[in-house]
Amino acid sequence: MKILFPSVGNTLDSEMDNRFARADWFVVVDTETMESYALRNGEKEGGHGVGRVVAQYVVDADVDMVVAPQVGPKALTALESAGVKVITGKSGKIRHIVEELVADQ
Amino acid sequence: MNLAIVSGKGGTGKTTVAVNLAAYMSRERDIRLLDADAEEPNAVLFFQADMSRDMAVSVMVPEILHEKCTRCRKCVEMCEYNALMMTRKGVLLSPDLCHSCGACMYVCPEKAILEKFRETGRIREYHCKAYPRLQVIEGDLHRGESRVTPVIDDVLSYAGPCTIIDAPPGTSCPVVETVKHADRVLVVTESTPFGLHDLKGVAAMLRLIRKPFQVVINRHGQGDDGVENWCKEEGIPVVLKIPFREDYARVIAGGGLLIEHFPRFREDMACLAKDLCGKGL
Ligand code: SF4
Ligand code: SF4
Repeated sequence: MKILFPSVGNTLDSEMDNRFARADWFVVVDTETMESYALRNGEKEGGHGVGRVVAQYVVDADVDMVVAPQVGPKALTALESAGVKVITGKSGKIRHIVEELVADQ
Repeated sequence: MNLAIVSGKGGTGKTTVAVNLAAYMSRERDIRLLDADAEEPNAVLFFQADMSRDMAVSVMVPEILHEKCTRCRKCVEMCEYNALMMTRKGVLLSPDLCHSCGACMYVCPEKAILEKFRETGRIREYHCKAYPRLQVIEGDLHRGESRVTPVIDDVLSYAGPCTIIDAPPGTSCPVVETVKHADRVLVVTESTPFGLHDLKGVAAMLRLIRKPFQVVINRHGQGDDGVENWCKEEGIPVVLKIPFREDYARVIAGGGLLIEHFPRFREDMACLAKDLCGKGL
């Protein structure tokens, strides 16, 4: 499963960013191989409706799930209607969250 | 004259002023009262009114024919409102973001987008036996619909030579649209700190679009002098103070018109009408 996290840095050991659509980075992790890569959020400075633009960006990354401290309403509905699972209310180091999620499976 | 009656939030007495003034003025001239508070229209409840017309308001919504779509993304890139998204299942429309501009249809090389219509509200015309020269036009947005502008636009298209508009509360886009149509603006507020706060918000919006306005203070005497003092400092004319009276409140709560019960209020409306008419009715 591919999971995307909003992140303050570009590695697995970065902390999640509280802002989803305006995060500096997105870190994508494949839970089967534990491979990860980072995408720079080019829409960070975007104006009104940035959540929607970022949602398209995330959908294009072809991930199965988004895990974030919080996700704005526009991005949330867009992601969910595009079939991406969204989990909110998590924070901390990305690596820890991944381990937690894998252990839960 | 095209008078818009606005307020920073609901429940300040905006509708009370609109319905009483409209009824009073209709004794001498034809008046149209437009209820543009389409999320909660209630002006007509103050009259024993008969509905004479009931029409649908529809908006265009694109429909994607997935079997024709080649996923070229032209529509997604074209949509200025980000209402379209490309997903694994194809192009996805978020109806609440769509502004019905038609650009996606225009740009689709496969003609994979159809023009469909959806009813989002109703426009109703009413006549009142007691006030034969008054016509009430109400916009009513269907529950669950988020785009109020098409309904308000239809209501505003009824503006005649002498029109009173009960505007939506607040300072959002639909309010700005409503006020832009008006040549006179009355802001109804209460003499409380909250009333002053809301008044300042509305005043900032009106100054931004360069609309002069006047203030009506409702439930006067119940709160403090903050609103009056602020208006004085800013040089904003206060054209009417409606005193706080329990007998007023009872009549309003019962859906009655103050002008039918209180000679003093009738005089207040006469002054207000004179003031408004003196300047180009
Ligand atoms: S009609 Fe306009 S706003 Fe609606 S989806 Fe098409 S391009 Fe976007
Ligand atoms: S423009 Fe037409 S063909 Fe291209 S993605 Fe949109 S609907 Fe499909």
